[in-house]
Amino acid sequence: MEKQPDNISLKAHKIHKYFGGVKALEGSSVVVTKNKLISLIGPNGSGKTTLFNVISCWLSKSHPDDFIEEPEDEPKLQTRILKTLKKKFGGNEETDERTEVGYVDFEDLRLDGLDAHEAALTGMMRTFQTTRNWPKLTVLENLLVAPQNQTGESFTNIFFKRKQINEEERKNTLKALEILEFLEITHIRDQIGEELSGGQLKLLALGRLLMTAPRLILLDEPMAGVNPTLGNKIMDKILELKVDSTIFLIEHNMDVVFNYSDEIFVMASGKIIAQGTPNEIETNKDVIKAYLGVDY
Amino acid sequence: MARIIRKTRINDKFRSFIVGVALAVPILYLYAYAFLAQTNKSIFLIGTILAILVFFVGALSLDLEVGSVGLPNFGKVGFFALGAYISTLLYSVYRWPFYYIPGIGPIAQFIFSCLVAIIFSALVGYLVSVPTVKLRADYFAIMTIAGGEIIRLLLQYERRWFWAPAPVGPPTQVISNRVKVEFTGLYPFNQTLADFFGFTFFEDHNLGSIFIWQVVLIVIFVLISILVYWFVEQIRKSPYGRTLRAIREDDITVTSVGKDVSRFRWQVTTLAACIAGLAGIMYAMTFSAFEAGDFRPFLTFDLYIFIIIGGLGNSRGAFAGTALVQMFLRAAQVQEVKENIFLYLGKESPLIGPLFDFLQLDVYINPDNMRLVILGIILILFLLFMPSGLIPEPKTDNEKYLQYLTPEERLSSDKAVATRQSLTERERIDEEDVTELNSNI
Repeated sequence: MEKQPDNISLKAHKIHKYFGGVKALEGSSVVVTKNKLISLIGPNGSGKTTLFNVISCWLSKSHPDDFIEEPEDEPKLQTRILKTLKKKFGGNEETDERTEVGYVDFEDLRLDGLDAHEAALTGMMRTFQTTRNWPKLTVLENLLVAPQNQTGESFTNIFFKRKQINEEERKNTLKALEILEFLEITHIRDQIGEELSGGQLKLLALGRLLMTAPRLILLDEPMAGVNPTLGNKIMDKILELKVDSTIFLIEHNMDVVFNYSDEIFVMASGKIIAQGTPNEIETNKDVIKAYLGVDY
Repeated sequence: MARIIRKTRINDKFRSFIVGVALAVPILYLYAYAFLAQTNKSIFLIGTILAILVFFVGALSLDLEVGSVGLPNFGKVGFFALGAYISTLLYSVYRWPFYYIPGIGPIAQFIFSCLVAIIFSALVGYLVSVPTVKLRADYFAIMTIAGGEIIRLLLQYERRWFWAPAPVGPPTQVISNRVKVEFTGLYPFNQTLADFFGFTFFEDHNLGSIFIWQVVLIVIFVLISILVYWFVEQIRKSPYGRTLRAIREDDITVTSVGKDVSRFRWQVTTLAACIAGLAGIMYAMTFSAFEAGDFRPFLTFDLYIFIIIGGLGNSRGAFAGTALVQMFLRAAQVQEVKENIFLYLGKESPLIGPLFDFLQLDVYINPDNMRLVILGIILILFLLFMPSGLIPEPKTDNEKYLQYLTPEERLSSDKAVATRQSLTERERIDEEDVTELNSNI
């Protein structure tokens, strides 16, 4: 693996993902520059979330050649068997022809084959499209669960390292209060998760992720289902985060995307069809075609 | 708003209290009736206390899994069986390796067999957890119920190892635990309280006599229960327990912040298996003779009834549930209760007599033959109307974390909370954008 340029945070190269006979991703590549806000847009079902899932190791990527094509003039089963046999016993030339597999690099680390929790430990955090929280825990606790590698999370340390645990809890509590203040949701400190509104949950998800001090943040529709004013507030907070971390954003709100992004990737049916600054994207014919149809 | 919340909270407490009294009064009445009918009252009482303690430890083990992590383990009884069988077979049948050492032999053998039983239970718990912890809750339940049955069937049919060799004839399936018999014969355990201390309270009140070994056994069991209780509570209070609760609520989010969910799950499953093995050892000592047929899945369901009635995710609730249900079950089995407290439905009863005559039915309903029906009804009522049980899991409370702050930090944080709470929702969303929003409307 060649050394990455220092200003590159994430590089996903030629990612393929097939769900049975559906091609969700077909060789999508993205490069995310450090301390920038990069957006990923595209029509519904174009594979944006799948790309996020592959990057954050929730899904494993497929080999480009593994797609099972089903020609109409041949029986299905026979094709499959032949294809498998060919792959197994086809000899060297066959394997040499296999297409190059894609990869995901985060800074100097190759993420291929990691578990989802291991990928999160590298400093790359993500949120989900549907907000998730722990409904029976208070907001403060929701934040306190998040810090990684806590001393108190090892079974033996509970009994033998109490002092260290207490110190760490104090530190984390202070940090959590700071984050609540930053997100301007201090007033819900003592409420439990299930009492919160949708917008508060979005902010809480953001706060949970900040507890781990991530260097790359993958946000999956942070403003979906939130009223525009609160949405603007969430966006303000996200922009403030740009100082310390890189932000990779999926969003359907075009105003936000075109006003704030440093760079935009456009996806359609599993492929990146365009990339560039907001101005370049706005006038790109492919993008307009993908969004509005051919004859527009 | 706060006042309304506080009001409902008090109502909840009041409701638990009423339900608790409504449940406890008939059971206590039944128990008192059974107790007074006994000829040797002290034995009856001690039997109940020991049974409560044994099943309390078992219920704690189950509650750690079901209540704290949300893993519905239906194979708990298998670990009971392992603890009971291994400790008993090693001590009473094989007597290897320490038993025949003069002096400390039996005690060393006893401790050794208990340790082996606990470690073996933990090992099996780990082995069961490896393929199962990644499954969804319902499949986990199916897998564990199968695991528990496999353990029981092995113990039942593997005659060479798990059956007790008899002096004459083929080996027997019934295993008898010799610990109690051998230790109670020793001085001063075989003395009554009256003989040894001159404490004649029980004899004076015609309650039978209590031996010193009975007192010692109860003390040991109480100590074990307190130790396990303390242990489980420490886990629940720690950051470890907080993450366990988070896993119970939503494991995907826990994974997404970089925690290995399956590590937490197998650790808890193994630990719970350890505790269940300990409960199995206590079971063997209390009931002395047992066979594989005693460890059917019903025992697991009994434990579920204890913790659901008492309250999931709460050790005190587990004790309340265990005590109430065990007292009911013990009292219902007493002959005098069966004979005297019954409801007769047949041709001589008023109103429905002709109907029962026509159906040729003569039914005596008593607490013993109705016990499963009664427990089932109680269980269903609890699940429908009080799913959190008699003593609900304590509401999580930020006090625990805020106490780490210095008074000034605490005060400033509380003040910030109060200030923002006093704002209206519109002001909170955005102080500056209010005008712009108005113009948009």
